[in-house]
Amino acid sequence: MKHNRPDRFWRSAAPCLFGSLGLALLTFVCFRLQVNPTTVALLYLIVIVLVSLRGNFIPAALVSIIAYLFLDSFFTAPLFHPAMSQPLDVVAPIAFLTTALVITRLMSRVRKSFQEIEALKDQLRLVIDTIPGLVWSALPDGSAEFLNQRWLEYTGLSLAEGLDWGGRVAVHPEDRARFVDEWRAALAAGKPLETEARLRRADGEYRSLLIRAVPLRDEQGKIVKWYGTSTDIEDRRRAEETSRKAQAELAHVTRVMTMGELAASIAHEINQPLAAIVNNGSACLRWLAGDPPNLDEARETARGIICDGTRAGEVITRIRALLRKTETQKVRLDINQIIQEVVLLTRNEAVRNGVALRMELAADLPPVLGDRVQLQQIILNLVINGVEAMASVTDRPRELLISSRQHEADQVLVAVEDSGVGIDRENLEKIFDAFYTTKSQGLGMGLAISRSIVEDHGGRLWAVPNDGPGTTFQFTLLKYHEER
Amino acid sequence: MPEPTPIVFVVDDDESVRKSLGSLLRSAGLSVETFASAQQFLDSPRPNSPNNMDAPSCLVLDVRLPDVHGLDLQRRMAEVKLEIPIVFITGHGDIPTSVRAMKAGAVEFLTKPFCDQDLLDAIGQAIERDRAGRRQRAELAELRGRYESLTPREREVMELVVAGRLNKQVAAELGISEVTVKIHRGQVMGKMRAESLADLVRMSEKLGIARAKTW
Repeated sequence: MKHNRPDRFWRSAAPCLFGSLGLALLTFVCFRLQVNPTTVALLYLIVIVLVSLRGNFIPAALVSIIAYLFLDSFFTAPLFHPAMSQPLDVVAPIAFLTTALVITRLMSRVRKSFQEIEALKDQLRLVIDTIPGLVWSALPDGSAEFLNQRWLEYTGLSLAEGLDWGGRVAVHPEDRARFVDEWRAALAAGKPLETEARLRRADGEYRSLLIRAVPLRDEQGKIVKWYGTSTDIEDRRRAEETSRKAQAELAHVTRVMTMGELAASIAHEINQPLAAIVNNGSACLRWLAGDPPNLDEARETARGIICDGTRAGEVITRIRALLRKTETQKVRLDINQIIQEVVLLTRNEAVRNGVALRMELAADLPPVLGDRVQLQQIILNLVINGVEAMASVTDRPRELLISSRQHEADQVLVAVEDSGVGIDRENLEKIFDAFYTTKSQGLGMGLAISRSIVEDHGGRLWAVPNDGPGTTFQFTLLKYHEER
Repeated sequence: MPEPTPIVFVVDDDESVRKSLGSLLRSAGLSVETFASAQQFLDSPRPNSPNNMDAPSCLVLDVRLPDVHGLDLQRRMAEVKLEIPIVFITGHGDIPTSVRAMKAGAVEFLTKPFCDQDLLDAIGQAIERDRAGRRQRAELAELRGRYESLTPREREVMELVVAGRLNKQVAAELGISEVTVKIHRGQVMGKMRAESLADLVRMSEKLGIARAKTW
């Protein structure tokens, strides 16, 4: 603040000084050239305007008075003798001074608003440059017009390079063609663009950016400009990836645990064909050892061996598929087939627990989009839960009904209905919480994982109490669409 | 009259196990009848009248069936006096189940997959047991028939005689003469086809008519 006072003083004094000097010079020149007073007055007014443009009101007023004195002394008769004898002598100076002061006032107003605009511009520029995002604008032909400071810092490109290429040079080579195509398509259609592309940062690392652009139109609807932002989503993307992996890992663990619960049934499921193979093998040898050997019977038993071996192999394949750790792969699936595969694995578990397993599968259901293993996991989990829910039931038949049907226009619904002990209404949502469990052994992750899988498939998983005893768990899946 | 081929009944819900067992047993010269469930077995006409059948038989039974537990079927069969020896087979045998089965009279408890010889031995044993049982039942039926042909007085005499009373004591107890007792006694020995008193005592034990001693 110390140097502020002389600064302010000079801001007033300098225009005063230069204005007076200018007037003196002008007066000298005009006086020698015998310019008529009206022209001189106009010239003086110009000087006053110039002064008022540079300084504030006071120097302009001072310069106006000096100008009048010069005009009166050098250009109006009698020369060098200010007189007030005639009315004109009074009116003229007042008119001149008034004109000068009004002009000065107006000019300072104009100057002020110019300053304000300038300040606003600076502020806007500051906002745009400091906003935590890459901001840019483009012309209707798609060429870059403006790039904010952040953009330049992020990419490490100069403004010229950036404008020249519109940042295209910074896009990852693998994404470039697609990005350019999408940008051209948006330009041609005049529709807002939202896409993702990897952009090379100044340090050479390629990072994912979310790029958005919207057109600005004039009254006729013609596109004048495009405004856009690019946001670095790499960190979020990575966090999502990590969380997705962790979830897949957890899903796998719960799947393995579920399979553990089924171990006895699975062993039985494999043991049956093995027993049949051993029986058939023994029988085959016996038929061959007969006198004469009974070749027809021997052949029949050999066929049996092949069938049973294949069957045991299929069981193992199904189990391995469920235990395998795989990336999520969403493909077109027949949900009824998935249900049947799960029922094959759990049939024995049901029999062992005295549960009658029934299926009511709607024919000609549309295919769904989903991951085979994950969907099997959900159904497996619901079936096992249902069987366990009926373990203590002795006064009524233990029945588990698995049904599928069309739900609304674009969904398929799968329901698993048990006649078990049921769930209190207040717990109907709690059971989907992680680590909520009613079993002595169990992580309490089954339903939580199932729900997150269903939601990842764009569907919903919920439980409803039956009218009679028991609970129905149901989930929806989206219909498979060709264009996906 | 030659004995008819023994019949093996097989009850297992798994079709391939059922079929393979059928083939194995037929290859060993047995005749086989297979059933997918306990109910099917109980409903079939033959097992309900096994005592009238000539052929000895046995039942190969899977412990875990969709409708009835193997042990329950065993109990139900005992209740209705369906006396067919049982060989249990199971996918995974646990000790409590096998102990219960054996206690309830099962011939053998085999865990799948089993060696063919083990099964055939068990079946042979079961059929032998059935044959013996059959013989016993036939004998008993024969004895009962003979016993039924006795008059009430003769039965009274027989009861006292096998209880070890002397003719004199019998006569006193029944209030008849000793000579009459002797005649009745001769009738009893003849009708019962007993060669000696010891023989008659053995028969009465089989018939379960040994009277409690009163002195």
